[in-house]
Amino acid sequence: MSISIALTKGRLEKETVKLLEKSGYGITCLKEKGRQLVFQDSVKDVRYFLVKANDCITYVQHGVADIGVVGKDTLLEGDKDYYELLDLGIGKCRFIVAGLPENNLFEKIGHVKIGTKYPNIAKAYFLERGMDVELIKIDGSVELAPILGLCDGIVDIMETGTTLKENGLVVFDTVCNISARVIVNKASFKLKRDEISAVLEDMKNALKAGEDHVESN
Amino acid sequence: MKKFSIPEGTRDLILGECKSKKELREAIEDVFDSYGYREIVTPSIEYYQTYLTGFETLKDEQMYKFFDHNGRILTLRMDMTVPIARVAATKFKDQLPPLRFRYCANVYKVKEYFAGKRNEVTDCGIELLGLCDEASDLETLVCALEVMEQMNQASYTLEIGNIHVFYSACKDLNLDDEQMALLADFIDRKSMRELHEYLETLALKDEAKMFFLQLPWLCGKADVLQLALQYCFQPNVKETIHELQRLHEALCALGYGDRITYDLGKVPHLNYYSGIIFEGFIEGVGTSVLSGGRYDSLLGKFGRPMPAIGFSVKLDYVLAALSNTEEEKEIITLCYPRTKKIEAIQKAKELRKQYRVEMLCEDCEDIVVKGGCAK
Repeated sequence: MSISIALTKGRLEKETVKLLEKSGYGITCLKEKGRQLVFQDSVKDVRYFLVKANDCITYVQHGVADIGVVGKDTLLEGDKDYYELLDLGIGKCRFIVAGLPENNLFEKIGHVKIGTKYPNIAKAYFLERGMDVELIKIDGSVELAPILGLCDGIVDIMETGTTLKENGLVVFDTVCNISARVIVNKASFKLKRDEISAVLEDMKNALKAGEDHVESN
Repeated sequence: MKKFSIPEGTRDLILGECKSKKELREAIEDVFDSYGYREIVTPSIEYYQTYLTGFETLKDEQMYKFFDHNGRILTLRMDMTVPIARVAATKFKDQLPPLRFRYCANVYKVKEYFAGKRNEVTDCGIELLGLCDEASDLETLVCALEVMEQMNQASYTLEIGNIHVFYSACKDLNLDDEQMALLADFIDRKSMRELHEYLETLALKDEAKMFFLQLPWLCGKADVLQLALQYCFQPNVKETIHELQRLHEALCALGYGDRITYDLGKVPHLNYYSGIIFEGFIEGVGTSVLSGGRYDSLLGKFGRPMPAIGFSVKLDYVLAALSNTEEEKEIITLCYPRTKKIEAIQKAKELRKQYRVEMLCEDCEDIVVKGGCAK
């Protein structure tokens, strides 16, 4: 049976494609793509589509894609009706709480406002800590919000920390670590068990080969 | 001009869709009926309190709620198992078990917006109350398999699990409720990374950690049961697996062997389940179309302790996979002039013994019957 894999466009795309190549998949079409969005593997009976991170979950939950490769950041924010079988360890970054150094929101007494693109993650984090905060959804350049006084702090993704530093913000806490995960539609996992297990196994082996390579260096 | 639409997560069924759904429903109900299940219809609305009694942890935000004239909270029913438990404990309180009920009703749950999910679905199922032996598990599974067959599917899978595999192990290790809930969630979603990290934080012996790490992967054909025995560190868990093996032998003898798979990492959120649980899958649907299991402690909460097992089919999910292109029976049109309406109605009545007849009063000389002009 044929398998469909939804890949996340953008940040994760390059590393995912590299991993697939290492796993022995025929993905030349993915490397030389024009405006095409659906690709056929030249070696295996696999179809790929490139989609936005949130849509990756949607396609997998509906079973249109059997497998999806998507960042944990997106998974944490959305619905969870799928199996999350593999951590690819690529696209690593973390969720952090940051703010201006002179205004530590954890020490503030009174109403705390948090700006974030990820309200669900932020809500869960502060609830866990027993803090009742007001969340303000911001869509881009979240770092700007505390500087302009819209909020006391932010919950956001941090890769290198350069943007934060350049804007004079400091990290107060890490919410969690993030990396790319392989998610699988529940029904697909029952009905196409062998095919899906084979893909997972191939990926695992490629990851292991990568680790061995690093170790031997 | 006013614009109209339907609420989020609902759907209109038109023409052929209604017919497909009715046929599917009848095919399934015929199976239930042949097993001696009797139909029950309950109100579309229930007291919120009834559901609160049924579910220990209720997902409040998933219920449609409103108030009655006394200020009591009402909800649109979210399932049929709880209403049937209520009926069994009240209307049937003096009847001797076993009781066999079937139902087909719309159930309501508020789902995430704009995710293409259904908030209203038709649930068609059975509840077998008052029996708790392995034989009643088997009878119910066979009934479920017959229903799956009725769905006209060349390839279907019925997947069986038993929550005792997980909970017996937890009890043995003295895990508290919160730890169990977290572990159950990670295992049920096969969220391997989180499961791994969480187990690291628990002070468990290695064999126990190994067991929990393996659970999500202990799914597939019956040989996983044998494999599972290797990881069992606790006699009760072993006994549960032996029970599943006996069940499998029986299902094989009945010819269902290659339709059955197992998933020992199935630990669902519905907290009234208490024994075997199962789900049916068909090709072309991204979620299970049939689900059920044993729930021996639910009826006790309504004051009539009695073991129970049941399952239901979500008709709307199945319909999505059925390509029913079958033509409707032809409709013929009887055209008549206004002056001959009595004669026309009499003629139509006569014709209806054989055909489906629609009438059209128009500007014509005499009564004319046109076949095949139906849209």
